[in-house]
Amino acid sequence: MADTHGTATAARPGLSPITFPQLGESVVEGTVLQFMVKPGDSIEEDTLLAEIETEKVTAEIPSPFKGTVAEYAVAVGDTVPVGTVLLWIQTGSAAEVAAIVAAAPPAVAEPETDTLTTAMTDAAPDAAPTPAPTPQNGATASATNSTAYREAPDAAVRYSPAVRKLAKEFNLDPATVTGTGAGGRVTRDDMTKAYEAKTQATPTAPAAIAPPAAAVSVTPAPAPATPRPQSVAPSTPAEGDLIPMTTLRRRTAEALVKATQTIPQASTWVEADVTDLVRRRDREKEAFRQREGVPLTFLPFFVAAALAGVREYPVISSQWTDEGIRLKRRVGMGIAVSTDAGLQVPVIHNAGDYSITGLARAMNDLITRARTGKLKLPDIEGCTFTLSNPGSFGSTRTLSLVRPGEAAIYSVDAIVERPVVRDGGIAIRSIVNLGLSFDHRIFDGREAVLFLVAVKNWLENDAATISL
Amino acid sequence: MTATEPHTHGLFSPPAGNDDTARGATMIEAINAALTEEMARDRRVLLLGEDVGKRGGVFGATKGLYAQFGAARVLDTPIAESGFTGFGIGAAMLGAVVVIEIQFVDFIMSALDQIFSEMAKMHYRSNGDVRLPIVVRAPIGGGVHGGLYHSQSPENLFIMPGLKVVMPATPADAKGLLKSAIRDPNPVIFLEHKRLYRSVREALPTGDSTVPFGIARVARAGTTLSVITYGAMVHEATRAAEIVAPEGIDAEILDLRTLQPYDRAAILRSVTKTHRALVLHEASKTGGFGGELAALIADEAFMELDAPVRRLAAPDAPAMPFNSRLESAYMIDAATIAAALRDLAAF
Repeated sequence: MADTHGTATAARPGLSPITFPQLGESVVEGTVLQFMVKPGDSIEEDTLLAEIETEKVTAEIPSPFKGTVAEYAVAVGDTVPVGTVLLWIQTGSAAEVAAIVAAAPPAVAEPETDTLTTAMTDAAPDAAPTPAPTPQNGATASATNSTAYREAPDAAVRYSPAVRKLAKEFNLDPATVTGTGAGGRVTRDDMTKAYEAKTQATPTAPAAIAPPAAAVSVTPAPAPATPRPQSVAPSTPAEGDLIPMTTLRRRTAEALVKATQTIPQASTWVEADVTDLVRRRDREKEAFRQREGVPLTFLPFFVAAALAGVREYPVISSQWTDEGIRLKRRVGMGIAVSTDAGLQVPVIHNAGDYSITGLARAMNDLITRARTGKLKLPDIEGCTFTLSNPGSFGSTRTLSLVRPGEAAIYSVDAIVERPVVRDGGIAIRSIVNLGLSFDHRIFDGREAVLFLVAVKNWLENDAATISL
Repeated sequence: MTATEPHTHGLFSPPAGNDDTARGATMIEAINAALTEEMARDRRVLLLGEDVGKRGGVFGATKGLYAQFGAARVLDTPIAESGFTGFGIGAAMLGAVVVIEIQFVDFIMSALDQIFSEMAKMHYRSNGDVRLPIVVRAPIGGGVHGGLYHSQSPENLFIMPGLKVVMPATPADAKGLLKSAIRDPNPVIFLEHKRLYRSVREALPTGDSTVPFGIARVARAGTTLSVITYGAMVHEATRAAEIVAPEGIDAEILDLRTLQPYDRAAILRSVTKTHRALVLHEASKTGGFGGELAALIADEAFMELDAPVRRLAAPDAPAMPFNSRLESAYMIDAATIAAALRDLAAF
């Protein structure tokens, strides 16, 4: 990331650029919410400079070095590509900076005439603007950066076409792969081996998916107190109040439009009798809270039931690709969490590895952090299958939408007492409606229903007795 | 002057006696067999060139044909390549199937106007009325201590619409490709590496078997990288592949067999399998046919490449040196290729 300073930006003597950081693989742009310093301010290393927002998170950018703020390079409210210079910090002598600031804006335009026409017309050589010098390479640019950026992958590294093709196919960033080629180059073989290791062996190491700018603090977008960019508000408001569009809202909308336009979806439901589970929870919840320090909700049981279903029908956790259906046996269980900022879907990675207690702890942690804006990027990446829990608001029948990149979404409605027929008589039982919306390209109603039946069977037969 | 020179080089003359057909046929025997069979099959086939008649050719390719088919079909010509090439064009226009032997490809230069401007274009120029079933056979290549005038590899000159260009690497291919060339209704430049004339033996397929144009041969199957080559370099590359095989480098050797047309699909198939390509030829690099091959790979297999397409070819020196040490320094050999294979595999 560090060298993106250089790729789009002319070097300016005595000044160091602060660029829009790479906050996750798929993030290509973001918006400047506010500057937290102003030109002339003296800053220390780690002084917060600006708050930015991307489709996934908002973040505060700390200064990688000590210096004086020279000038803003973009305006508040601008949406800019990753790598764009946001502001300049004076790290050189004051005289150099004064000269820079006094001068015209740095010329980045190419000379309008080429050498041949210049020669032919005998134009004065200084008539054409001199292109600003550019940094020699990534090393030059990264030298201006602190340790916060030092571990960032070097975007100037060129990968071979074959490696880039595999990167896309495997969804694997070559920057995370150890190269064995000439000069440490990542080869096609390295990619293949890394992919095999990733899919067959241990779960992905946290370092591999951590955002490159690890020191940047990450909060879900947008924080309630975030000042909105002035420029976004229209000068003559139309009738009705305008709710400003947050990036999260926009991205959610885009994802849902994509889901409905690209995924042929179908849905199915079954009812499960969770009377025994309800009784068990009533019996054990106080002791559990005292023992474990987290509440015992129904959610871990519904997750465990879904995982049991996926074990039986692995295609539920899979992905449609042009080459084929890619199974995701290591389930990244997304939990849809409603927050003030919007819908967040933190992920329990390798969800199959957890006990009920483990799931309860993991979910408590993720949900708490989602609602308090403390999610980090790895928390929201790697989802393979999503649980939606509209029952917590009282819904008794939900039609969910499959999220792009996943095969299915599973919904749990409210547990309600109903009169049902049992052994020839009418009984009052606790009934829950379970739904599954699925990508019909990947599998058919048969798998969807059989999966839900497996979930139902687990809830009815195992949930009341499984050890916590 | 040119025709007199081979007579001073016993090196190029067929060895006396020492017939070793039990171990298969040499390329020169395969060529002789192809000519014999085609002349017997088709009365229209006639041969012409310097010393192809009574002497049987300086390399012995036409040995015995004068006696078998007579002076009317096996014609000794004056030392005038432009003249007898034009003669051959005229004979073909009147219905003959002409096999012209150029004693060394180095001597073809004076005939290029006939070949480029008349032979290659006649079919087009006549709106398809006139076809020229002509094969121009010419020994090519060096590494035989032949010096400046007997060692050139100018195959790239003939890559031109209107000409087919064939360059066999094995005796069986030489026979099958030459039969295809004689049966082709249009001009074919048939380039025979003189170092392969007697250095490789191979059992020839029995019966009337031909090898089609435009179909490459996988001389060695491999997975690490692809070597795309032709002619004598096929054998050097195969030797090099065996040198580096114990190091875990499993080279695939593709023998193009024909340069025009050349087997694009086979090249792309191989590169798609190995993701690394070395283009190899004995001719000098700049402007050589390897540039065409490298460009094809870059154009059509770009996303498969895990390394730059490499070219290994002779240095851009004006000629193959005569001095034997300089000659071996100039020639691409298995050790040089092995080094290039290691380098490419390590990229």
